[in-house]
Amino acid sequence: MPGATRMADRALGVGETVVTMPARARPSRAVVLIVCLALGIAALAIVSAGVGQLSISPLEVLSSVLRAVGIDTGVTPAQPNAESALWTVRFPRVVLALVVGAALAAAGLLMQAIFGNPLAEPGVVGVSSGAALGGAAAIVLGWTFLGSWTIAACAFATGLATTLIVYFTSRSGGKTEVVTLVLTGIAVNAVAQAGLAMLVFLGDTQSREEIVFWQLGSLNGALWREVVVAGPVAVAGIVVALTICRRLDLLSLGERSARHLGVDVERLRIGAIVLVALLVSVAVAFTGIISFVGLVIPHLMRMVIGPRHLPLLIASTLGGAFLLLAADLAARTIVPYADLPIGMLTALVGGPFFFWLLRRTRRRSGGWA
Amino acid sequence: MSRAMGRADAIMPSPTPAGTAVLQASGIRVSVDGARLLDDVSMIAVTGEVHALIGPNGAGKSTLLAVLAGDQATAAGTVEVDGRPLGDWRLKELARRRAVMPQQTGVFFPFTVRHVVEMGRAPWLGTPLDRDDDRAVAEAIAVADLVELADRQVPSLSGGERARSAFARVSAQRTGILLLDEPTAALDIHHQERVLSALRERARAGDAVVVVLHDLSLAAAFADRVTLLGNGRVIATGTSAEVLTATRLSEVYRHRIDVFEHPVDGSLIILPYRGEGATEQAARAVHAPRIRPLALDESHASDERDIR
Repeated sequence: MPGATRMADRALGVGETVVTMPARARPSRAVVLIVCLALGIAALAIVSAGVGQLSISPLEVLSSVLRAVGIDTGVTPAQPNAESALWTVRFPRVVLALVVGAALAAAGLLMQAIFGNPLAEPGVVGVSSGAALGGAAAIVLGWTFLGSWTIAACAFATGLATTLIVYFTSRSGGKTEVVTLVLTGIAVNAVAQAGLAMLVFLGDTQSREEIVFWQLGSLNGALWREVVVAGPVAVAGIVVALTICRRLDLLSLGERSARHLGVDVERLRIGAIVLVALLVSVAVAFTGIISFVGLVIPHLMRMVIGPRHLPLLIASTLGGAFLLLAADLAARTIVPYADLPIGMLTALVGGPFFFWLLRRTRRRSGGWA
Repeated sequence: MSRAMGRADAIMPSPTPAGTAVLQASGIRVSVDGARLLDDVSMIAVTGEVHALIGPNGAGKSTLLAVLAGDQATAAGTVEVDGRPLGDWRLKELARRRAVMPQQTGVFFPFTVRHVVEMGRAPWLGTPLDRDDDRAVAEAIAVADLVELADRQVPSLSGGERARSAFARVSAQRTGILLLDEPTAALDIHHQERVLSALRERARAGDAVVVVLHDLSLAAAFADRVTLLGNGRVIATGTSAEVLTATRLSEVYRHRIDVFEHPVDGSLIILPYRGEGATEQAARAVHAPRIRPLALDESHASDERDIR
């Protein structure tokens, strides 16, 4: 457009406008981070699968995986039970950790984008508890109307309801103030915890135990049939999330500006809310409440590669998978012969991190805005 | 059919001859909680012109701009862009036809200035015009004097710098219609002039610009057409010389306002009268010989000797 060129000419006082774009550092940084995380995940997965009461070397783990895809390396496990331990216990657990970590981190990032607040997180605002309520109800009341999908479906229903409630009660003027967000989280968590307490009261001994452990979050006893439900749902959710990243970037200008740039904000918000509920509930349904992954990971990734949502979502997904895999390895190995609740570990690290973020946000904005 | 036509137009903006009404609001009424914010307001944005909306606080300037932008629901009246009702436009097409600079220029996450300006190109993604992206972004950054700040994070900038990055984003969008809500409110004099000169250049190149302004002298200097709002109604519309008279402004702003001609460049200077204060006496001593009051109305006639 000649007008704009002239405008620049006049402003610069030059006849010819030759403004070259400086080389951008961000994308390459993002690529480096993403590649590192992917390699880290692969390495950690192999190590993690080998660690346990029955120790299996990384080489044996790798050759077992390769054999499954038809490549014979000639390496056979030293232990006779190794193969079955890997394929019935270790691998489903590793894969579920990856799936759940990725889902939680992606959900956290999506929430932060639509709340316009970097402190939004499914655990903090109560979406995880909300989803847990539905899942627990299915356990206690013995619902099986959807087969192995029942718990996940119930968790999704209450998780979605909770997300909608939190979203529409905590926002004003297109964003959510920190105070509102945290207080809404307290209220929602209180109600959800009351519901869970009620279910614990109603349940028999077995389902009580199940719910209590579930609230702590654990990957113990992960099964392939859980992975088969959680995996595709999480992958589908993340793939859809990748397609809305550009619009999420525009949303950080505020709702009105996003609309002026052609974004159907209403549709985007509802879509993102459904995705959040989907990702959180599929994670909660099989592993219980694991909080702060969705807070810590997107935040760290944003510090490294900046706030653009497309690279950020990819990095957060991988980062979440890596973190949960590492946390699960720690949960299994810190105390010998014990399987610590993983939700406890993430909260132990995530709680202080959240506190630090709160303090920093307050300092930067000069108040609790 | 007409929709498909409109979309083609929106992707490939054909130069509209100067003087074409591209944005037209008529009979707009807006009520919020029983309060009537706008009542029977009409206005036209014409290619080749900067159209300033002025008026006191609560006059309805920003509300009118929000109506023009499609943000504000109306109780009555129509808004048409290129002769098509606003509601018939798809958001994407509209984003290629008009850009809006809001008053609130914050960004929720630590995007850099360059990221934010690049967002202005979003509507053109996937069209033949997206090959202009880099150039449009670089030019917009230069126009808004942000070259030095291009890699800074927007939340860390001052209010004026944030406003300039929002202005750059809107410029980069390269639409034929520009709506801006007080783009100069947070700016220093150099950047006020720079932004409004840029807008006037855009108008000269064939765009239609609608801008809400608080500074009456700025409106007088840069607007081809001025609409004065008061209490949700249009008080007057026309050239700045027609609209910006001392009588009318004093009445609408409920404060005595004098209009002078600049001794050097002849532009209008519009100032509130500040009584018999010492500072005012001093100022008069310096400027009085070269300034003559214009259109001083009868009710202020008794003060004429003071000014002279």
